[in-house]
Amino acid sequence: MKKNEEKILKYLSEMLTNEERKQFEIELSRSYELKKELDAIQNRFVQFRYLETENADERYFASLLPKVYSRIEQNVNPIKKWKVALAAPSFVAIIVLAILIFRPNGYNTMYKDLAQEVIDNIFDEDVSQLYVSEIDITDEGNILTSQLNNYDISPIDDSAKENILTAYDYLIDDDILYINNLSDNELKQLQNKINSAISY
Amino acid sequence: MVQEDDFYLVNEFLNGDESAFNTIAKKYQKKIYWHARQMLGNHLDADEVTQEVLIVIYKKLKNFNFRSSLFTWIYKIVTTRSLNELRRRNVKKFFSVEDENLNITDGRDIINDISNKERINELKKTLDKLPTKQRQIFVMRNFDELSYEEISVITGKSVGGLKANYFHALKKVMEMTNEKE
Repeated sequence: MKKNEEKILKYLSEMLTNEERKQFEIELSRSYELKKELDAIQNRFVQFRYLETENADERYFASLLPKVYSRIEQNVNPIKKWKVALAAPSFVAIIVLAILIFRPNGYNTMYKDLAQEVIDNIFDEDVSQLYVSEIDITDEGNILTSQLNNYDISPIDDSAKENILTAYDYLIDDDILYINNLSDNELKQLQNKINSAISY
Repeated sequence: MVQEDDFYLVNEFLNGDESAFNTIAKKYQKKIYWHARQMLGNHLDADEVTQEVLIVIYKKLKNFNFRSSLFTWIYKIVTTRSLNELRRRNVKKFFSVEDENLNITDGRDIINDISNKERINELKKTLDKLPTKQRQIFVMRNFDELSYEEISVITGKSVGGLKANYFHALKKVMEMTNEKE
């Protein structure tokens, strides 16, 4: 890392204290080298705006709304809609299946603790909020997406949302391994939790 | 003014004027697409997320109560959908549904900038290597030019945490671009 790089990055990300920032800006006004270094680093990040090129095909945006309306019309087709009563057990079945297939031989205590945390963090009402809607199902990925998507707009309070997101993160995010380490008993608890939410 | 316009448009839509939704969609569709595009790195996924977000807006606008601006509400939806898509990719990767090294390309890509294509690909690869949360803050700060306070409202994360994430994102981008030089 170059001499001033760390300090410049802290400046750009507003990580410097007020005092440090003032000091840095004084140095900046006095040092041509530092100014040059700052400009070079800033340019490094600015070039990423090329990714949002002006030279994009406008026809795509012109054709977007008709496609959206077409999908909205398809969504009201009752054949394509699955009721929650079918969607939620399907989700549980997929989790069970995934665990049965991918469960490793040994259990790790850390994973068990995290799994327990997941179970503890999902409140019946919260899960219920996530499931009380009709969900389009095309594959397992879409089920997962649809369920969390309700989080976006569901009218539950912020702390409940945080709990759901935390729990969901543990289950699905990069830490999907955790779910593979649930014991039969833990899995049963999770199933009961979801089942009780469905009948809530 | 923008907020007032949005308020008017939402109310018109709720009173049955479908053209108000068209106006809202046209106003925000590019922002939605480009955010999804920076997060997901390819046209196909960005297109899918953009369509999904517009459908959600259409269906859920009746629940929107202006506790935040319409832009913030839409942004919350697109950023969550993009993160979900990334998570879905991780799940698929975990279940080996997709080749880890699969590079999604699409002949129908809307970017026609042939002269800068190589450069654009290099930048895209760098962005793809950033961890999800760092990529999110990098995109929101660097492309969308949002303030930490706005990002905090959208993501529900603390400003301090966002600053730290952005700092690490910048550091990683510097390291990766240094290697290429």
